[in-house]
Amino acid sequence: MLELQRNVIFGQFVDTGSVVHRMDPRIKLGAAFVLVVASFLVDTFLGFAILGLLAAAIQAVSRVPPGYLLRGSALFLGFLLFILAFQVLFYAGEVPEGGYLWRWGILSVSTAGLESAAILGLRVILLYYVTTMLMLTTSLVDLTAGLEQIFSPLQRLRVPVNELVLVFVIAVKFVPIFIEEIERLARARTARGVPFDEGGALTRARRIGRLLVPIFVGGFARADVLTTAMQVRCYRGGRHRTRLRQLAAAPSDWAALLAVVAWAVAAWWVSGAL
Amino acid sequence: MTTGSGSGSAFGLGVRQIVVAGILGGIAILLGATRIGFIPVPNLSGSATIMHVPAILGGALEGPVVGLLAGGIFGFYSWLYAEVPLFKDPIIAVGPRLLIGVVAWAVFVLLRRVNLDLASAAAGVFGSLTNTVGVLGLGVLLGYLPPAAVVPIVPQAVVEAVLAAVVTVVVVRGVTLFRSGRTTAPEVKDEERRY
Repeated sequence: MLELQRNVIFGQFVDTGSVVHRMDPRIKLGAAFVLVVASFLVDTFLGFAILGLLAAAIQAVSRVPPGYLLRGSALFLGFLLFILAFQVLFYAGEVPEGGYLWRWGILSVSTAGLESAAILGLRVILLYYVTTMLMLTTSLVDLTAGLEQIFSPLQRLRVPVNELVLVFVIAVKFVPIFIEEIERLARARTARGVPFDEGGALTRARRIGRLLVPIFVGGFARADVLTTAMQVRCYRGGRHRTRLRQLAAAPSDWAALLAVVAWAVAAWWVSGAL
Repeated sequence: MTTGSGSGSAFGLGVRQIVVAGILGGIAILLGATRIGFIPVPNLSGSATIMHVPAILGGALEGPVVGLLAGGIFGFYSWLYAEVPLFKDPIIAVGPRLLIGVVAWAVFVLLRRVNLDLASAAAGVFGSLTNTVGVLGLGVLLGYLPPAAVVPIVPQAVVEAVLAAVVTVVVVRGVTLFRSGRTTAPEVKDEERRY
């Protein structure tokens, strides 16, 4: 049976009431951005080890159970390993003399290929961790408010910031809903005699593929309902809207952002110096 | 791009466009996060995908703005969670994806008066090819891929285009049927049904 809800945690919010959860969302978005940039700049194992320590500290402070995070990332990590194996086998970069561990036609395993794939894997894992933790520790209301305020200067250039943020938020918000729906559809079909756990990879893929059409058609049906609901409430973007809860960054929030920046710069510096 | 509070035209960003683009973007993320939208293949790209299908459907059924936004969300997600170096460049990950829905819309509008199924299939094929040609073309132009690496990806591109065409035809039919209202039984009270 498909167990997507247990294995995919994209878009979920786990409220443990920690310091990280209570931080100003703009500060969290800023810190996430810094770490995303750092993941692209750092390209040594030591640099990633330093960033890994920061990730461990964030994990401890946020009180999000590591087991929950790992179980929810198993699917992603499994697929990542699969893709990285191809990156090693089809490595196209330069390999020094004697660097090959195994070679057969265009396929090879080399120390340079393994190193390149490992750095790529660490980069992807860090990016995944940062964005997942941002969503696990920030409610959608806070995420929306934070994004709208960060990009609000663009409104002067007539960029529809509120509308674009809403598109993004609806997309993220609907992922867990669709995951639940796809699981329910799979259960309903299993009950009617379609085994999702049996058969080869191709048979399974075809059976799962057939779940997509009702998801798409259902998605358009939900869109009709949500559009009507927003129109009867006179939704008109962010213009002249006031907020019940004003965002205010505390000095401790700024200190946390500064610490993340300093840590990321240290990782980058160590990475470049070696 | 204009903003508006009503339903808006296909070129505006009204409530309907915001909601549909968001939901289709959500389906694109769903396909990526659950890995349902990937078919692993042994080449440099790592996998064939149908993650671009929501952008095609957005363009065909709701206009270029929805197609552009749904494609943008797909591109942003594939950049953020890129597992191959090619997609770590936002120009490659996002740029061609913005055009998928726009091309699908243009093809669909051009052909829908001839035949709805033909228009849907053509939108699927051309939307899919926009993705493949755009990504591979930029990959070669920017030096991420040697031109020789494109050859093994051609069969994958054909599979992606065929899958996109099939899903687009079925979903456009389904949505058209749903919107026509012919899918629900007439509302009849129990007393009336007895006689």
